[in-house]
Amino acid sequence: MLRRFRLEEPESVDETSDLLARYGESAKIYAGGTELLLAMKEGLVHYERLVNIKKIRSLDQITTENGFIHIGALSTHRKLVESSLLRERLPALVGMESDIANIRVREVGTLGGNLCFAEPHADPGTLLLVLGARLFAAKRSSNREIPVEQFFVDAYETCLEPDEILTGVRVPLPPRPSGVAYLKFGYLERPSVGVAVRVTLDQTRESIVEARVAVGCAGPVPRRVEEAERLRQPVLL
Amino acid sequence: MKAGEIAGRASDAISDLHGSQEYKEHIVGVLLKRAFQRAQEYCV
Ligand SMILES: Cc1cc2nc3c(=O)[nH]c(=O)nc-3n(C[C@H](O)[C@H](O)[C@H](O)COP(=O)(O)OP(=O)(O)OC[C@H]3O[C@@H](n4cnc5c(N)ncnc54)[C@H](O)[C@@H]3O)c2cc1C
Repeated sequence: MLRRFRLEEPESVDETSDLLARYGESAKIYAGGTELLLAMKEGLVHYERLVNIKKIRSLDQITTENGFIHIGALSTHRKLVESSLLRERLPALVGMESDIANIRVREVGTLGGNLCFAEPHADPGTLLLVLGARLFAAKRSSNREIPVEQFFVDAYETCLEPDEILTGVRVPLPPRPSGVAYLKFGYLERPSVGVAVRVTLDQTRESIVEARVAVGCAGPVPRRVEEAERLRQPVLL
Repeated sequence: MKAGEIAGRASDAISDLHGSQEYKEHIVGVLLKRAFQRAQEYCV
């Protein structure tokens, strides 16, 4: 059963941050609600106030500028799957997104909610690691940029401060020629193991200039595996 | 040591409902090999 709560509907990041600062631990951001409402219904957590951030229109945009793609935190999985910009420029991200959960969760669940919940059995964090993404967090009077490596602290724990909002993710377009792949395995509702690779070749396409490897789901947080990256192809295959 | 083994160990796999630590480490190795091949195939 869902216990009573108040719903706040701020229209800006500043207003959201003020509400979070004012109400402290009794308030929580609510985006798609796919994780939060589930946890509240099961009585695992209770908040007196939910701060619905979906009225902040500017947070669901997907844009490209100067070799980067910017994805607003409120972009739903579905929106990412259907984005023609992402299909063209980051098809591996679209592939990963189209395989998240089920159609109902993808319809309302957001990328920001996925990252902020920091559930270990999740896909985006692992792929964002090899893409070299940075996350943008904001609160009243300050903004900061966080490399994905530093974002996940432990299972269900991120480095965000209580009154901070994740506003978006910036992904650099991979250098050319590069290839990116994300594969996962599991037989339960959520993935059991996820692996992401980004390979950059030299212009002749004969040797590997850079390889990046990340693993997720198996442990508490997704992580880059630099020792494996140094080995490159011959040892790997 | 192969990259798959290194990645398996680095994954901090824990034993839970999804499988044992050893099992997950093994899967990491299998997926890494395939992901690496796929990344190269899809190079643009
Ligand atoms: C049945 C099921 C299957 C799933 N399968 C997968 C899967 O295969 N792979 C996968 O990766 N994920 C999976 N998920 C997780 C899914 O991706 C997330 O539930 C969803 O993306 C969360 O987004 P939301 O907007 O609903 O978050 P909410 O539930 O609204 O919020 C989640 C948490 O993040 C906080 N939060 C949300 N947005 C922000 C923000 N902008 N700034 C700061 N804090 C914020 C909230 O306060 C809350 O604590 C599954 C979920 C379900 C229910």
